[in-house]
Amino acid sequence: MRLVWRIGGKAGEGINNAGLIFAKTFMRAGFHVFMNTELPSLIRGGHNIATVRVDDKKIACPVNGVDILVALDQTTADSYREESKNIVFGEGVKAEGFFVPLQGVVDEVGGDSVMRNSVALGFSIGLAGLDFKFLKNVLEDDFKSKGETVLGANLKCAEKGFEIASKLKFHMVLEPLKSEGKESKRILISGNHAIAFGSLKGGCRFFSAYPMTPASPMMEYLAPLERDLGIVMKQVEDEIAAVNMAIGASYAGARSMAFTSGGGFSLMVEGLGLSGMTETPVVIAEVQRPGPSTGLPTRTGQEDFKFVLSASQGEFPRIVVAPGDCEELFEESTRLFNLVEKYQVPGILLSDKFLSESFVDCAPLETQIKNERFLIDKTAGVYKRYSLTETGVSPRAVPGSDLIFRSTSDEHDEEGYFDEDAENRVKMTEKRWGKVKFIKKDLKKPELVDNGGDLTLVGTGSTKNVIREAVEVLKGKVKVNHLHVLYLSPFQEEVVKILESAGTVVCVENNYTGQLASILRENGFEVDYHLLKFDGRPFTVDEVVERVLNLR
Amino acid sequence: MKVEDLNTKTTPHWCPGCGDYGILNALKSALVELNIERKNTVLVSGIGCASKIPQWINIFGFHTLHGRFLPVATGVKLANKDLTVIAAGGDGDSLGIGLGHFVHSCRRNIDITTIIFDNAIYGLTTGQTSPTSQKGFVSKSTPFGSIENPVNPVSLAIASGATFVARGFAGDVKGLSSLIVEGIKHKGFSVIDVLQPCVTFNHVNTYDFYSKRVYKVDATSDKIKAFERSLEFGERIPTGVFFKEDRETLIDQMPQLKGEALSRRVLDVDLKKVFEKFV
Ligand SMILES: Cc1ncc(C[n+]2csc(CCOP(=O)(O)OP(=O)(O)O)c2C)c(N)n1
Ligand code: SF4
Repeated sequence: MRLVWRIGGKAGEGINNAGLIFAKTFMRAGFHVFMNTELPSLIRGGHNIATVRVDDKKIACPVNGVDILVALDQTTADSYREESKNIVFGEGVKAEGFFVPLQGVVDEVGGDSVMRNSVALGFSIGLAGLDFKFLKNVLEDDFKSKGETVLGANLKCAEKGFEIASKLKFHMVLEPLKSEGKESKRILISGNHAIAFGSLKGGCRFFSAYPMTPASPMMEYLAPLERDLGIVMKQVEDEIAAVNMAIGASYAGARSMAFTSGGGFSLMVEGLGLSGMTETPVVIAEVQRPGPSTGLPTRTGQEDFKFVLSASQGEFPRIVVAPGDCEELFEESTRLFNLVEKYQVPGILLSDKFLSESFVDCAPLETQIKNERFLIDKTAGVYKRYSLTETGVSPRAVPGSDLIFRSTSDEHDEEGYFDEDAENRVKMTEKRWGKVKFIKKDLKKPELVDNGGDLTLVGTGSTKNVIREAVEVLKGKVKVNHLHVLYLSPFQEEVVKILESAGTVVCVENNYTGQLASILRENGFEVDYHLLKFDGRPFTVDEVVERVLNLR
Repeated sequence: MKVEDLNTKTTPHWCPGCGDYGILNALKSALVELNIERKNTVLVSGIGCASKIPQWINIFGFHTLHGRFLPVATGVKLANKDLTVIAAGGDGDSLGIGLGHFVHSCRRNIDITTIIFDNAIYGLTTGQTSPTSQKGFVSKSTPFGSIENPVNPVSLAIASGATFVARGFAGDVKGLSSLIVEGIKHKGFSVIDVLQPCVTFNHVNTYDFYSKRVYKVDATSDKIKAFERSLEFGERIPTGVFFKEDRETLIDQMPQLKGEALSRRVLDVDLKKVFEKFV
């Protein structure tokens, strides 16, 4: 069973919020929901859409086609006419479908024109056959803080919209959706929420950032929690300060993270090397958007894989993880904070606009990963902060303990004193790289979703769910397997092993040059086909299905 | 504690006669006078001749990146407010590549003392002009003389909101040491600009040059008066505390940092309440 609902209008007309209300209404009615948005890089006057999928099964990616399109403006009606089964529109829009006097209702109620959204929401819920109480319930929660008048007007608008739909002759255009009737305890969150929550779960107490779409919503999610949770969310002067402040906080013993998009990450590169050289753990979340330079600020892409893997002068190990959905973002954020502290290396958490700004329903996020501290405050004999050990990891103290030491971004000896001696250089380089073998043991093993097919789709990061669903759809026609590459660094040999026995391999990614395929090649595996998309938009299920079928 | 307790395994390798020795000695005697706890004191520096200083003083030290020591120091202080945090960098570090961080640290009024090793030249890179080089200064990169106006660190610090602003002279170790003592005691962002002869590359701003010109001013909390005094730099160069003011520090305004230091808090948080908003 499926319903795809889209609302579009001018930027500043509350499109995003209307989408969230629609999604939450169905979530509370017991359905699974997914919402993604497309918006131009404008605050007002541009064209925004929010698309909500409702389904019985868990979904987390877009499809082609729309069942109900709410066109608040002519652009929406014109742009999506062909792919939409039913168009709902109000005064001033020319279209075929359901005319609803959106503005008329608002005027009757005496509300603000933004409340056309509420009329449209009521109408849509009615058209889809859902009980009004679910919408009422969400509106009440949502507008409670805005005061009685605003809430009352919105409720009236929604009710009228719902009534209009109930009176329709061909009233049910869709199979009525049967809700489970019981209120779900699920939560509606975005990928950015999942990163923020996963980091908190992993013990992160210090966040620093400079606003940059699409990472900045995390500021807005974390800052209100400062006092309740005892954390710091510091907006700083630039991304250079953000990463270096995080490194300073970590040096002093607080788990810390700086978050940004590719442009800001460019400025963080020198800091990344500082973390690598001084073995001061730090996490950077890089939420990708298409480049180069300012690129498409509000669109999506996976163009920074190779950049984050090789960023910084010199050589040092780093952990790079590219989760594919909210649950994975949460768990891997938690894991990353424990790994970077255990191994004293920088960690990069990759996401992208599509993954970070899309909303899905999830069970309240949980993980089995246990937080553990890896600090010492006593030692026998002279304390050597960079002592050579079997694992390459030296016992780490922090200021406030008696184990006084110095760190330097210059090459150094075991005690942290300058040392340019050739032999020392070799030892220290090998020490730092020696950790990789052990880090690998602590990573989750890659798993093939094996459908017994001789075709395998491989992807990383946000393509996870679109590939998974495409594989399901394809099942009737062709059997296809899926491999989701979770860690880009350290690279797991198991990935290549799996692919070597996987038949024809197709690499699916949101970039022009095939960066994941190139990473696989570097590790000894050549993919057979590239399935690339680099228009700034995410893949849809239908698109992947069609392109896979056309490969053959 | 004695000065010797602050020595480390190695000895400085600055050029003989470099003003940095004077600053190191002044810092050491200031720490002895303050009887600081070594385990709770951190020195964060950038990159340059000056910034090598953490190697030679036995407290926690972090020799970071060129120009980035103030954000690092700020992170250290926010993570553990119980630490005494001192920042150190050259004039290139503090006012060239790191100028933005300098201004923001002043306006934040974070309780850190920053020492500018101001030799009006880039020492470690062997003698290029610096943001504090006077107009007309001839260096490797300015053979026809610098054509840009210098930054006045004292005026800049006052204008940007630092709450303790002083200038010292590396040739007057005793006087400098007491400025550092006062700066560390002060609650808020303390800036100490130190006239530091670079005997190898700067043959204009020598010990002799400064000795003839320096004189002492008295502290004031009158910002305009302090600013006016700070503008003098030429035949006579004022030193001492220019400006001192009591203002809430950054951390005073962060209730979430009350109690146990961030670095010592338990890692586990309960997100149940947070999730309730998303149901
Ligand atoms: C990003 C970066 N750019 C340039 C350098 C090279 N560099 C090292 S020290 C320095 C300037 C030194 O001058 P200053 O900060 O005044 O300190 P001094 O050596 O005079 O004590 C420069 C440009 C660097 N290390 N990093
Ligand atoms: S080059 Fe100048 S600043 Fe550097 S150590 Fe020598 S005298 Fe001191």
